Amino acid sequence: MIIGFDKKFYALKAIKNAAKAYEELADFKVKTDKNKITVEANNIDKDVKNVFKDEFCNYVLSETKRIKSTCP
Amino acid sequence: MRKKENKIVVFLSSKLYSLEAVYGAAYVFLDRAYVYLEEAPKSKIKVTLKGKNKLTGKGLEGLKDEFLNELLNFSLREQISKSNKKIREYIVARALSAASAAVIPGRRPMGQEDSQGRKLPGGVIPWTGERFKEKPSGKKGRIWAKDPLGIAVPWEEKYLAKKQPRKKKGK
Repeated sequence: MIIGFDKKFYALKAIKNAAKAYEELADFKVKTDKNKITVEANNIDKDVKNVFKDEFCNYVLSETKRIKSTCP
Repeated sequence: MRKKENKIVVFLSSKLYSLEAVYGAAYVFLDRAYVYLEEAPKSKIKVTLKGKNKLTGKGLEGLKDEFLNELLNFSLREQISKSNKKIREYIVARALSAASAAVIPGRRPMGQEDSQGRKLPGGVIPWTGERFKEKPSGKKGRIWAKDPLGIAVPWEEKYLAKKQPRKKKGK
């Protein structure tokens, strides 16, 4: 499964944190291009395969918000 | 709207809404929906909201409307935060400096200096304005022992002593 993240909206650190948090559910490879960060997830746990992508994206978004946000 | 996929797409102008506000609104929806952000042409932000539970057409529209409301809420919050930034920092700095002055022994609050800017020993009794030179010690030195307002005098001593003679007159 390949998931693309726009560099403008998602932080690389957030994606790495998410990959670390999800490492028991899949094997990850993170690649960065000019505008995109691509995550390749292999050997995804069967029990969570149908929600894996969406949950992973939500986790990355929450991490990005935590890293970038300055508003109290 | 993609009803089959349980998704709804919202296009936002990045000129109107800051990325900070989009993050804030998206964060509120993380428990109800899957949120995905992408860049769209003409400096727009494409937000895809996918319901965690199966939603009807109206449900998806409602999700979109609530998201837009939340976006406005965060935009306003951000604006207020920016406009109050200086006063907020000033209040915190004042509070911290006052707290540090109170905690450090021997250090007095600001303004306790002589005309040449030298720090004066001792401090000021707040209710009289009198200055004491050193740390008060002993019965004589106790600030509260002076009791200029008569706070330490019991109520009976202060008032009852005056009332009792009147009763005697009545008898």
